[in-house]
Amino acid sequence: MIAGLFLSYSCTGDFEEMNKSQNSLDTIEDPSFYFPRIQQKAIHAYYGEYQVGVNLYTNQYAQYVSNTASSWATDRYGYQDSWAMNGYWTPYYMYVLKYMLQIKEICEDRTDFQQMYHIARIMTAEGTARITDVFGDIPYSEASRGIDKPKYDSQKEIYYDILKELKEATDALEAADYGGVQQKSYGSQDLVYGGNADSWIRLGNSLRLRYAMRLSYVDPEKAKAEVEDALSKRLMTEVSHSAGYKPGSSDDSEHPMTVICHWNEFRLSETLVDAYKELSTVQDPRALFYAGYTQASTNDENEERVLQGLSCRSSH
Amino acid sequence: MELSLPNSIQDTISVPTHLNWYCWPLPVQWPATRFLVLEGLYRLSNSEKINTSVGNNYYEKEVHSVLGNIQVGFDHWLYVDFTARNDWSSTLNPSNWSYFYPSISLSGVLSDVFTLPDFVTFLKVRGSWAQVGSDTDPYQLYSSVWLNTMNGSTKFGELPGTKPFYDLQPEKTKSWEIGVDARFLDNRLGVDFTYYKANTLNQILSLDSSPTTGYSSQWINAGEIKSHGVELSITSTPIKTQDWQWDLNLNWGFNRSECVTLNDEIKRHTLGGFKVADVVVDEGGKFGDIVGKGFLRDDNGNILLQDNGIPIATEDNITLGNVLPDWTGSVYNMLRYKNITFHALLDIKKGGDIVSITDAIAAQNGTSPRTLEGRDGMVVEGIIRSTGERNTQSVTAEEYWNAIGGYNNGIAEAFMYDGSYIMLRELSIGYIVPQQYLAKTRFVKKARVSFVGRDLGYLLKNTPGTTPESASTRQDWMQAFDLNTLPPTRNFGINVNLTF
Repeated sequence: MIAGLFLSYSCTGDFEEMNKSQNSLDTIEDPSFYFPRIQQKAIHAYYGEYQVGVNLYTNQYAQYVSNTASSWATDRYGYQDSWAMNGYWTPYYMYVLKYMLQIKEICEDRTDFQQMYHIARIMTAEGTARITDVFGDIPYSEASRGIDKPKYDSQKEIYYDILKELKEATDALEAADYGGVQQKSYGSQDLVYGGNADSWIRLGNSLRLRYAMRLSYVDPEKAKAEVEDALSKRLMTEVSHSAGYKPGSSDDSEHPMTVICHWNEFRLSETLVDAYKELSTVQDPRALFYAGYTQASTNDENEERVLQGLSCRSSH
Repeated sequence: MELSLPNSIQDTISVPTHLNWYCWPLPVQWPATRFLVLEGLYRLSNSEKINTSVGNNYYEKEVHSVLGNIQVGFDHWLYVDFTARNDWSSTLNPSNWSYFYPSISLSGVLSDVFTLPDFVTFLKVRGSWAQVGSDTDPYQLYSSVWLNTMNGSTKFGELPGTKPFYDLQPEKTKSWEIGVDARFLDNRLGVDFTYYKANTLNQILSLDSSPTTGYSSQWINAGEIKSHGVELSITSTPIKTQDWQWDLNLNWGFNRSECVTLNDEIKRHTLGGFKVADVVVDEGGKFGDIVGKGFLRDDNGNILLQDNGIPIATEDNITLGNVLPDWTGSVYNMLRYKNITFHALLDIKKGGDIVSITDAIAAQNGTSPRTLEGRDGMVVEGIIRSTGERNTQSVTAEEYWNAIGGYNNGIAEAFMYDGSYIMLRELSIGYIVPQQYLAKTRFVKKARVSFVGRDLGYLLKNTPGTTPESASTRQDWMQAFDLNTLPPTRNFGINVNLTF
């Protein structure tokens, strides 16, 4: 029996190696493998979180769309915990922030990854702004790091951090001072701009301008300082600078509207249509795209085709 | 009675080494590729030219075991069994991968030793104590990155959603049991009774965690889960004559499980569930509580309603019942007249609550008989929350059941049923072929033919139009739900039993 014990014990030599999965790697030392997911999740491009986070939830609160399915109460300003989770918290904390922290860790020692690092900061800042706009104070500085019960940071701290991130990232990209080291580019892994630093600079400054403007009444001094600084930099001025990415044809890359529209659970809201047609003093050129009429519509006011799939208006 | 030196000791020590090697390759749809995106990862997901999500998986774990077993007999009436086993598992970390577990059991045939009254034919007592260890699946200790594809062709690294736990300890279950096997009146009556108690420590569980930690679940060693129970079996032959025999066997048992502690941070572990209700284990609570939305009530128990007369659901989930039964049992009858036998088996369960999602969906769609009342209007008994007045607002059955029922947002409290049942499990009539006919064939020693019917019907049940045994899988928590399963079928057949 003793001999048996010896035999068995000595055979544990390769146990540790065996328990490391062969299906995966310990780590991937390349930020371009983490970046596309940040992009997809930060802007709700995947129909799963688009539907429960944006379409059926915040869009209904804002009365862009109205509800035609009777089972949920979000059009009456009801709260849906699982949607808040699946629509906002899970995509942001499990993907955007977590992958950003991973990118940060990888880029720390690599002089050739700096450009990618700064670009990622801009994309993440947009994702952070989206979630704090909906929830206010949220966990941020301690979040996505494996800490149980990370503390909540105030929205002020978060907004200040967003503005700081955008400033530092755009300044660093603008200066492009990498000590002479050739920078690796995201290339096709960057779904929005293909790794083009110039476009990211413009986007970063424009985002900074937008977020700083939101502070106009609540923190005018900070708003003024940031806005003036952003206006002095390069901004998005042409259509070619637009940020977005082409939907694909596979399930997870289709435009979310294509997937959810035929489930037939929402309609364009009358509030929005009235805002376009009656309340607004400026003709919004997007109105035709968001709120048109189908050919089959019997309303004789207009005969434009609908381009987005939203068919008719209804009251909420 | 004297205890003499043991005159039989059987000593067996065996040292096998078990190697468990699991390898599950998935079916491959695309040919192998020479173009690897990342070095060192020889998996289909890592190939550049494949533009859809295919992969292959590989799991490997090794467990080495050493075990020994000694049985000692005293005077042919008292037996003692020792076993000892030590496992080394590759799925745990070096300081934890070895775990030892022994067991000891004792049994004594008292009727061989003592002079017992005439009506006691046989009496045996037994007791045992055992400790059992258990490891986990491979790859739980370290964080690693999977390669995945999105948008058809874009590769990305997928970080783990479950927090790895390096210090995972093996599970340990300690249990003991005592039992009595007694037979009376020349084996006409037998009683077998067992009482057991078990304690599971360090159970390896996956607990949900807030995504703000960066993980949606984490492995933990959960504190302590206790269970105890009884198993009783009575066999009897009330009638035994030349031509007639009647056997009556009864089985009865119960089990109670509760969670003593879970974890410092987490107080509830969800075993499983659907949108309207979950089955959970709470720290300090019974195993298998069913939680879901209920009717919001005031302090006097009145249902609170919105202004439009529709009930309000509780914001949080409340405990609605428990999936575990109070007790289970069976009744078996065998009646024989000469060569004709008749068997009947009844299966009985008392307790165990069920959430009928089938009923909830049917109610929302208006196909349940419950929804007939109030189609033209009904007034729900209750208090309007905003005014405090008794409700007089009329609602149609459709509005009511639309709000209360359904798969997504139903109020589970309205669809709870008692899962007790008495089921006629099996009925059969058989004929034992007499020896004189069998003697003609040279090979067949015994033969019996019977007609059997199984799952014949419920003599008692509470679920509305559905079976209380409609769980789709064998998992514990699934027993609490009834979700659109097909009705069970009765089976009829012929059995031929031949002994050569």
